[in-house]
Amino acid sequence: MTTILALGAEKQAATSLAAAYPDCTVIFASDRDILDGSDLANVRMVHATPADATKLAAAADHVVPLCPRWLCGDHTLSRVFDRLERALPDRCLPVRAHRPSSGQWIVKGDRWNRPDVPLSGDARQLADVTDPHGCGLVFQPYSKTTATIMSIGRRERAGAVHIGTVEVFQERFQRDVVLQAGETIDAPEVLGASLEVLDALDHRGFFTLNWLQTDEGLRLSSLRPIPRAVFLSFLRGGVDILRVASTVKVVASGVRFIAAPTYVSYKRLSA
Amino acid sequence: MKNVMVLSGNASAINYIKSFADDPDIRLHITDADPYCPGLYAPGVTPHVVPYARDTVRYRASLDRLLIEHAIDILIPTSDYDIEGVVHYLKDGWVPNVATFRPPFEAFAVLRHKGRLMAHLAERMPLVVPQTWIGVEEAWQWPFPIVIKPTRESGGKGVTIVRHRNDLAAAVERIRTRYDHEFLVQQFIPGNTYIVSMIYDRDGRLVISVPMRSHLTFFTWGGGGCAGEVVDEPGLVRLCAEVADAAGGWSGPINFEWRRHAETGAFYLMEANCRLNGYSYLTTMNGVCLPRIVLALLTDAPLPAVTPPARRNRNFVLGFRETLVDRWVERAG
Repeated sequence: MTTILALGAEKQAATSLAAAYPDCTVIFASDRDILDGSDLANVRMVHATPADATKLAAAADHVVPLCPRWLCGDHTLSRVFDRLERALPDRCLPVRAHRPSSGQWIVKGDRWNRPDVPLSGDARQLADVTDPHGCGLVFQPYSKTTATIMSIGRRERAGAVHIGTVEVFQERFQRDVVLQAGETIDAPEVLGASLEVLDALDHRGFFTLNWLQTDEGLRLSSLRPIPRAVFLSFLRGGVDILRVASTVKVVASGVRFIAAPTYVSYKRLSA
Repeated sequence: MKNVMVLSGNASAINYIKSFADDPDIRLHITDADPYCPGLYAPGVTPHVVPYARDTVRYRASLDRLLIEHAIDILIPTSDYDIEGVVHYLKDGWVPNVATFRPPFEAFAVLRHKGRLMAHLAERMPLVVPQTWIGVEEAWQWPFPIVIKPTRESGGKGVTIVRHRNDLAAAVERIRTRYDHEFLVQQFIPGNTYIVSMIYDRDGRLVISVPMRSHLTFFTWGGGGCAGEVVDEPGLVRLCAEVADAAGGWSGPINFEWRRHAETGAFYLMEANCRLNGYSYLTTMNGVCLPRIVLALLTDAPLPAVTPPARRNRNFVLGFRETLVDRWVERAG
């Protein structure tokens, strides 16, 4: 039986992955004690830390990182956006390592998503922000938006990309961010811009690009090397992002999803 | 066939939906202002998108129309805003032709507002009230860490834990921007979060109480629980009943959130919510179906059997699972 390793399985995308591939064994690896998903017949859970990722990956057919904490290499927003600001200056919102003294800013995690509710405001309102989770902090201009659109997928190389564009109607910002409702859309501008960004970085592997529709046009606000909880939707839309891409294949528009609250019993992973 | 309308399709409404949606004798109507709210898409429900409850005039008109159009027999508000709307309408003389709880308005006014609740209990039950300050004039004497929270939100919305005096100005600036002066400052209580869900009958008699403890919270610093278990804490249940009595009594579902001090073991009241708690489905998982008790009380039916406390051993974790939907629910009219 095919084995899929989900690294950082405390994220919402873990159960999406398990539900989308019921004929595969999906191993939920996490350093958190309490996980959702114990009721899913194809799920096995292991307590592990990011240091165990390479060893665990050796025994899996597919490895799906769900949180950048579990990846090697520098995938920080500061580095990625530094490159993009030079390569595609009009495409992205700037990312700053230090709190600017004027204007409205939003605080983000540099290496991975900063947990809990996003904080935004001016320099005085953000003066107490610290980094207790070790994700690193960066600051981005706070923009009024009319829409949030994510490009999610997996890229092998230029011209070999599985990708879907999702209009996000609602996210919940908790300990982990939850994709609450969205719909795959036909958005040629977003698709083109996403491929342009990925090519500029020559990004390899999974990705989620967060695009904001602003008064100044479409602006990239984030790029993380992970997928989100859309595996079922993408399969419904005709794209299996676990398969290696050989061309550019785009998820069909009109697939709608919500996040349904579920309650299941659990056993502590460390027990 | 009973037509039951549950106001809001999130949090505690999920317990009602899971408890009623498969019942052939119930036609379950779910309302929410958010067309993407998960409860609207649960199998077996009739969904309705309504105006925000804070838009009181339009909301009430919409509610009146739905109650008549769908011949609703039983009305159960489950979110803070819905309850606030309904309680105010009832106070203003609203007489809908439905079975619903009619809690005392004065008690609601105390319980719904953290500042009023703490002030009300400060003399009556001082041992359960964390030190509380309104305004920041006395900040020089506060023992840090302290907690700043809006007076009328729940579930951790807008809350900041301020660990050092130097961080106070930024936290106050943020909360004032969003909530103006509607916030309070409290002593930080280290420890675990406990919730007690209770149901009072229409005459104000306590029918059942179920205490629960959170194992994991929505936010890294605390807030509402997203994993937990049922516990046996008769002393805590007694405290809750005393709080409800001190507020003027109650009718319908209510829950009280507490922190148990990590060092002293003492319970401190954090807030009251005039509804079942968000993860009250835990009680249903354990054979105590609070929505069925609510329904029985509103229809004068016999109360359902419940499992004894010693057999309430199932814990829970809340997940948010990707679920495909055919079409979005549209706003009526």
